[in-house]
Amino acid sequence: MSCEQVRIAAMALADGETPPLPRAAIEVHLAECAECRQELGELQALGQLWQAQTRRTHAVDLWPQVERRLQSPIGQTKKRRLMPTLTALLVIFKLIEFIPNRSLGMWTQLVPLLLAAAVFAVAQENPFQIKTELRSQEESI
Amino acid sequence: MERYQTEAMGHALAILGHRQDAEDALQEAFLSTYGALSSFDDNRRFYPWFYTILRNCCWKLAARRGKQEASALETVEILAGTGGGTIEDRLALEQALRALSPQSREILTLRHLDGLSYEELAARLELPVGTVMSRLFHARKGLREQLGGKQ
Repeated sequence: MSCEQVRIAAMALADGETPPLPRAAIEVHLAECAECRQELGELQALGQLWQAQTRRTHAVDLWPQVERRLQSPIGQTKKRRLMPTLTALLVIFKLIEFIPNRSLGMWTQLVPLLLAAAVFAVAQENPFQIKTELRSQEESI
Repeated sequence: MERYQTEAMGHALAILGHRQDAEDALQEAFLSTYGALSSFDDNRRFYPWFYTILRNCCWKLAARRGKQEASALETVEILAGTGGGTIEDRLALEQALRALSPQSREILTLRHLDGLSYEELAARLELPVGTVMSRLFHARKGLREQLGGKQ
């Protein structure tokens, strides 16, 4: 049992918490160890300093900024980048269909369909009603 | 959200120490919270759950922020006197707190200003109770050293 272990346990006791060591063992050690008694006395004196303090409140209203960011989500920027990429891929796969003797099989038909679906979804203003969902969650908080 | 922002601002300030950083972290935390609301268990208390998100945002911001850049930001006070102590004591404690690591500031203010028990600290900081005891002890030692050095 080191001095530090006893000091940690004694501080827990002073805080009204359950110490990790038996109270009797802490008391025996403190009775014999002047250094531990001194350090604990100093640390407990800090508690009096804290008693005269409270957390300072800082008035803040971040809701307008948060609301603005919720209404223009990152998705808008992503959408702007995603649309040309998807469209280019769609054109490329459609062009592949004109290559004679191509061996990609069903992929040349399936991929353009998937790409077209993705372009349609991204092009929607709000395909999944995300904002409506957020509003109802906000009200529930 | 409006209900919690003053309290959350106080907590973010205790970790980051600068108003602008605290506001940035808080905004990020609110946005992340909206994204994660579907995973929130209604049987739990909201603020401790939100605090986990907030402190993650604070640590990310603290990691991104360089020391030089941070020193140019507006420093705001964490403490307010209750009338029971002197202004000198408060200023000394404030200055000593600022000299500590964000982790030490966080655990000390949660314990002494919010009155969280060891169990509550363990839940809030996602640490075992034994680690909370040890961190709190070392944070207090650091604070005493800072105060000792200034007196």
